[in-house]
Amino acid sequence: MTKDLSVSTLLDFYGGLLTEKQRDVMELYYNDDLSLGEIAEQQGISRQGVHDSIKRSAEALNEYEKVLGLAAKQEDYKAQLVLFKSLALEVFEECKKVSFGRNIAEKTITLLETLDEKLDEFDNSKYIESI
Amino acid sequence: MAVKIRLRRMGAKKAPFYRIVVADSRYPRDGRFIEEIGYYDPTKEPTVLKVDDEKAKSWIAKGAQPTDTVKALLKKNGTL
Repeated sequence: MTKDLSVSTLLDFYGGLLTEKQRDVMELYYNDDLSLGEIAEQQGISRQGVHDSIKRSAEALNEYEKVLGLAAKQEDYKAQLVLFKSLALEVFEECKKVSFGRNIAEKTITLLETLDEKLDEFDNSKYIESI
Repeated sequence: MAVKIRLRRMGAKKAPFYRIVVADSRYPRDGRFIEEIGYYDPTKEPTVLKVDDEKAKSWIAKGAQPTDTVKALLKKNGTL
């Protein structure tokens, strides 16, 4: 089986619902990119056992997502923030065209700052080091 | 003993992000790695993949084993 990295995101949301052992195995497999053999050696179980555990856990995670849909909702939320930001920028540009727009512009800036703060939660560029 | 090239998940709950690292297979968990040779960001559209080709090739020539996932990424990047 090829690794589907989106499982890693489901693990963020629903990992706490797995048993500790299942979670450890899933994290080693998806977040540390270990092979079945390496995990088997480290956990003291058979390679087949690791494979079964991963398969069962992935099924459980997909089932949770089907019912609760938290990961999908988060995607929607992010897309909405991006949309709001572009709309707020348009408002800001419009303000510049009218003489009475100053108060509106100031409020729009506050709005943009709030949106940027929220969008920062989705930003992972801080992990990029020069290579 | 083997030296591996693998992904390592970084990033927050809301923003998965992977570094491509060269690491000794004996201590995979404690965060030690030999060198970082690239990164993979699946959150961007399209996904962002950056690999130092020279380093990747030289590590592979020295016998470092890329995992299947990394192998697929390197192929996509044209390194392999």
